[in-house]
Amino acid sequence: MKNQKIIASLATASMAVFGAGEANAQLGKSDLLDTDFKGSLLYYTETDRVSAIEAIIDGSYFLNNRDTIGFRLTFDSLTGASANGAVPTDRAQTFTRPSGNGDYTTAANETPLDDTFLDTRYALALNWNRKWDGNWQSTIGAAFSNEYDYQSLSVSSLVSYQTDDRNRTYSGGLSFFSDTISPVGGLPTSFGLMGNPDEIQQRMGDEDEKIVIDALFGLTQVIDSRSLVQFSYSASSSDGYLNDPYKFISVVGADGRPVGQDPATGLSQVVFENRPDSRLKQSFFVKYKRDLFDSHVFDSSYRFMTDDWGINSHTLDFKYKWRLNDVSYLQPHLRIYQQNDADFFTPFFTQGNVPAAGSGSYASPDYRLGEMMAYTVGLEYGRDNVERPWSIALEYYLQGLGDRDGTFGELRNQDLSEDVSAFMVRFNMDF
Amino acid sequence: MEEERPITLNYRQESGEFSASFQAMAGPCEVLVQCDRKEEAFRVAKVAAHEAWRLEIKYSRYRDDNLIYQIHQNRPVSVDEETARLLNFAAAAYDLSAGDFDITSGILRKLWNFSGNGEAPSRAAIKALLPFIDWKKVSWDGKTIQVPVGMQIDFGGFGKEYAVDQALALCHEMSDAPILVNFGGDLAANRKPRSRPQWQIGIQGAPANFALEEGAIATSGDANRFIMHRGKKLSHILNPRTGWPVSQAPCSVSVGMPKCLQAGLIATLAILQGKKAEGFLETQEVTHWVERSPA
Repeated sequence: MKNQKIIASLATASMAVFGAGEANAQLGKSDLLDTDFKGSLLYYTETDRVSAIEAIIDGSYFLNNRDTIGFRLTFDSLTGASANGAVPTDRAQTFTRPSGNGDYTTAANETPLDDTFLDTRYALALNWNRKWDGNWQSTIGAAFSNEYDYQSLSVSSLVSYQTDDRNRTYSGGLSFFSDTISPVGGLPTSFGLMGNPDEIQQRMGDEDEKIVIDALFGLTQVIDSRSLVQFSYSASSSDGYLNDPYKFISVVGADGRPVGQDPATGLSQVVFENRPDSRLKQSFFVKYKRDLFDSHVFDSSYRFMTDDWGINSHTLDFKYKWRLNDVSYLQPHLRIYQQNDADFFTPFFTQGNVPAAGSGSYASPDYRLGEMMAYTVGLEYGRDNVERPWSIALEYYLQGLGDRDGTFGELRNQDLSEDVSAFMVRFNMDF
Repeated sequence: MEEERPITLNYRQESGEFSASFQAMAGPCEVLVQCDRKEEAFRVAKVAAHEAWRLEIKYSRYRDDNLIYQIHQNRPVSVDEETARLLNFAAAAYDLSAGDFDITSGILRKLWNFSGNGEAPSRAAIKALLPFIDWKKVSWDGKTIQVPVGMQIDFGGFGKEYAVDQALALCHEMSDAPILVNFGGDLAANRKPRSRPQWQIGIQGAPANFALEEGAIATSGDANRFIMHRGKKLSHILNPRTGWPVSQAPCSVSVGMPKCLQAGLIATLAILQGKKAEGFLETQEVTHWVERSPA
């Protein structure tokens, strides 16, 4: 063969090879215009307290290369008992049920729990995601949720921009929530005394509202081929009814025992809590994620939250995805949470120091507003084969509450900050 | 029904792409898909893998249930459209190369063992096979082929490159994402990646990574496949007219062209030029790299 230019002839000859193309019968283009569905089932149970089942279905419809419509359907069912805020003591205590009808009794030396805690929640969220030219993406969404005493409506938006080299993503979002609270039995009057069962209770209306505005700014930076770091700042401003209508505060006498109110019924003297009608929370979040040994992933994050109720909290979270083989992994998880008391956290009132009913001062016995330290340890096993990934996670949660200040008398014999522990099992699957 | 072979999918964070790997045509294959959804990436990869497996089965010389087996029974066989196009291409390649490229030369592989510790066959054995090598002796009218007794045809000279082009075309039909199909070093991309200006391709004998926007790169020759004969390393590319490895051939030649099939043929023809490989490639005015073992 001579050294001649054969390129042009070759081009002609090779083009004839790619004629109509072989039909790939099994897989058509329509396979791509598809939907994805994911399901998740969670069972949560606190020792002697609340149990919950939550089922979530996520669906995505990929309309084209740019637009995705997503929905999430959530169903929650809660049963069991929840701390009502009163202190335990060395004799049985009786409390009127939130409805005002009937009562329940807590045994001596037990943390008072409202055992009528029963709720079912349905929620639906819809969102539309669009990829724009020039690395922009936007998502707008709307959500609705409904439970017996709480309705929530929200709209949200998120915009993100990725730099050309894909190493950095900026995102910003804004959400708006409008919630309606209509507690069983109406809204208790702040610092109003709990009335005897089947008598008229002090109320300040049937329902109230809460408006929440959330803003978020985030930055994700790829450090190198194996690691990335993420920062975000978020602010959340709530206005309106922020009380927990089912929480009340014991009035304690000089002996450190709740003051009996009515010897006939055995009812303890308790007054309903009151919180400020606005709250501003700010969160700073940083996450570092790194691939190790080509297939393992180490994920760590820290969040600092501070609000104008005086709460500062710190959350440390670590996950390690331990790849067993191409399609399965084990992922241990550790989470540590710490917070201090809110300014108005009040585990009990001493007799004579109870604000007047309807007064504008603030006090709440809610343990969620008090000093606490919580640990979560968990292990997840997952199969992430592409066609039908699933995972199952088991987590143990232990919450320790801070020691309560200013105790005396019988209060000192009681555990005002009883630990709460919980187990969680979560199953996720794509289908 | 063939047993389903596994496809492994990984996500590469830094380049924002999914990498699917599977085995086909006796080697590792990879498909890179730059999209956001793993389901899309997986379906694209699946199309590529199924195409590779389909062609592997259809044109394997080692099966007794395919078209190639039927053709090797030496009776006239009327072939399907795809095979006809490939046979026409083989005929054109034979003509363009003045007989240097010949799909009937595959039978020489029975004699040569290029694993690195094999020995050269005897001259007599090679000479005995030469009468059974010549595309001109095959009867091919565009629809029906008949191979004389003792002769065989083999699409190994361009089958993998054709599979790359075919797989990429099918993938591209399914997705607008940037896709790179790489079957054992022969590769093609439909468009430039979204994360960086070019795909970075490591090429044997090239000083740095080659930057590919779209189009194909094929490599002929393999520095690890050779035979030692009288103290000399012989290339594994055989000259169909002598039955011997091409003398003074480069270890490997890589060529960039729009189609992998074209690039592969030019690379093979360059090696067949022996010491004139570089001159041949210059004349073709194609992007190329030549690796020669140190003298």
